Amino acid sequence: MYDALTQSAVWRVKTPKSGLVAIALAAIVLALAPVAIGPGSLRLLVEVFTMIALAQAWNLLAGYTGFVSVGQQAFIGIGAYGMFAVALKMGLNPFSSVLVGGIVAAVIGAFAALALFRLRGPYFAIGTWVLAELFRIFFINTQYFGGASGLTLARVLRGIPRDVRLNTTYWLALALALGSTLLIYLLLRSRFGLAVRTVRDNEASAESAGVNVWGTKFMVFVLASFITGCAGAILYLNTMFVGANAAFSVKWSALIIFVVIIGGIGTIEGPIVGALVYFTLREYLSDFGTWYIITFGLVAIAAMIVAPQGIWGYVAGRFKYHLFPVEAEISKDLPR
Amino acid sequence: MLELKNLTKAYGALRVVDDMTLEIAQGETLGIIGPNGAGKTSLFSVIAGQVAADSGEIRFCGQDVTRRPPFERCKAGLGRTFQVPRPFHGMTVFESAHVAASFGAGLSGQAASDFAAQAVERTGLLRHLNEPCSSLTLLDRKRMELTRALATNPKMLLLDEIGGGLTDHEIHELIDILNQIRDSGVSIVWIEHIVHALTSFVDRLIVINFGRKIADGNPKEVMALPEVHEIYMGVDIDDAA
Ligand SMILES: Nc1ncnc2c1ncn2[C@@H]1O[C@H](COP(=O)(O)OP(=O)(O)O)[C@@H](O)[C@H]1O
Ligand SMILES: [Mg+2]
Repeated sequence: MYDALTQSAVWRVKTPKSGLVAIALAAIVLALAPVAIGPGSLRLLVEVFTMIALAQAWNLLAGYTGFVSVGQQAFIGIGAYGMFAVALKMGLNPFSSVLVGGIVAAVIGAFAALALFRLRGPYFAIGTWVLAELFRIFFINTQYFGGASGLTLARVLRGIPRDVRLNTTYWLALALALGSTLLIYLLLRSRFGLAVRTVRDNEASAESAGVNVWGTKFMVFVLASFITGCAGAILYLNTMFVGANAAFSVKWSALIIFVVIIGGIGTIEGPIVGALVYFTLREYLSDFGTWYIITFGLVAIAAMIVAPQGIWGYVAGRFKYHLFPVEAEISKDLPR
Repeated sequence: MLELKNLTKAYGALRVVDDMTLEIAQGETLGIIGPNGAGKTSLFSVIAGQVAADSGEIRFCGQDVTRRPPFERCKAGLGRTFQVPRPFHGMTVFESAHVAASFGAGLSGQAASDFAAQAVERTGLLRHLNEPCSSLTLLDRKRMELTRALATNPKMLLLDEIGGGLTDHEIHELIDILNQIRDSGVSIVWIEHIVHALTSFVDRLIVINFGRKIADGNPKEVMALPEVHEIYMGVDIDDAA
């Protein structure tokens, strides 16, 4: 009964432009922000943007590929230390060094994957944490990296005017947030994205559809490590000081997971929404000391009960709207 | 096309595939029957690579694939379905077929979309094209298994009880589809408990018990063997004839 249609019509996958337009608009507006806002707000936005990138990377791992890491701090710390090392020891411009930090994190991520992928489910999660701890202990005890007292960028940043430093850091963070969002969105819309999602849904079926499950996971893990490493480098470029206890702290993973779960896991919008919610809460509640931590916990629990799909998951389900639709919709176009 | 030589797989003391030697030619249709737990599904898993063989050899299209990962065997042309459907819950019917057309069949762009949509159409899932697999009924999930396997553009299809639960009419429709696939040169190996449906379709039938092949040949002759009768006490053999 469908034969007649098939012969004369063409199958077309819809390619919505909403996400691309949103990113382009955000890029234009936010790139101009430094003319309008002060250094304190710029610093805060750097944090927001790096958190969006961190959350996108974790969401790619957990929400789209199906493996839960609680060791993202390993790559935050490595990205930061990698950046500090090349800037301080080799004299490379600290801003270009951010990229080096990301690449070092990606390379370490590739080697880590070889070991971590032998672990399944909760064992994988614990493995990532153990890995991060090993790095923390290594950096704490290595004098080359400043040992327990850490490293400071003050020496190499001295010659750079303050607003140049602030603005460049801001633009790097903005580029990372938008770039990682765009890259992950386009990847997920591509055939590689299909492979990624089959791996999350069922590895055996994925392989029997011709998907190289190990290779797909490997590429995702390396990409997530790269983004996380760049984010770590920018975070500590922003503070100009890095210490191993803070950089390799499991608090990072807890925070990232909070952001993604609150925002909506398995959606591109979720990490952005989650990061905005988190920083709004933090800015308004930080005066209340301990209460601020407790409120986070309550918000997380409330969100999981009311909207287990997160804020964006709830909105998308309610209004059937996606700004970044990852799912490919197909329809038949009649020939003109 | 497919050659199994002394293939063996054991779980502890339990041999689920026991010294299996078997050859399947291009375009051939082979039925597999045997009691529950005989090792039929395990045989498919060893052939398709989800389970590694303990010993023996698997050759497909002249190549030794015994140690190859399942995705490479799929790309080489071995398509399989799972007895208990394993859908991609978070993906639509189209996407599930599309991924198979992209990676299994190695197509891209419009060709991949078309091939995927055709596979969906062929198995009767077109009206669910943009629906998530998680919303499919069990029968449709079985159809999805066949769709995914078809969309990999296989040279040989391994079908594991895709007919269970279908009405007589639906079984006929299924056999029509399988006939078309066979006519396009694809070999089909089909595990099925509905013996009369199976024997009406296949050229050849093997019987497996305790991981061992105990009969192999013309379906009618195989069904008439006393050792097969013994295993299939409950089955109406007249149905098979
Ligand atoms: N992963 C496994 N570990 C242990 N035993 C298994 C495993 N998979 C299957 N078996 C056993 O192997 C035997 C054959 O199973 P199966 O191949 O599914 O049989 P069939 O498809 O013929 O019903 C059964 O006894 C089953 O319990
Ligand atoms: Mg079985």
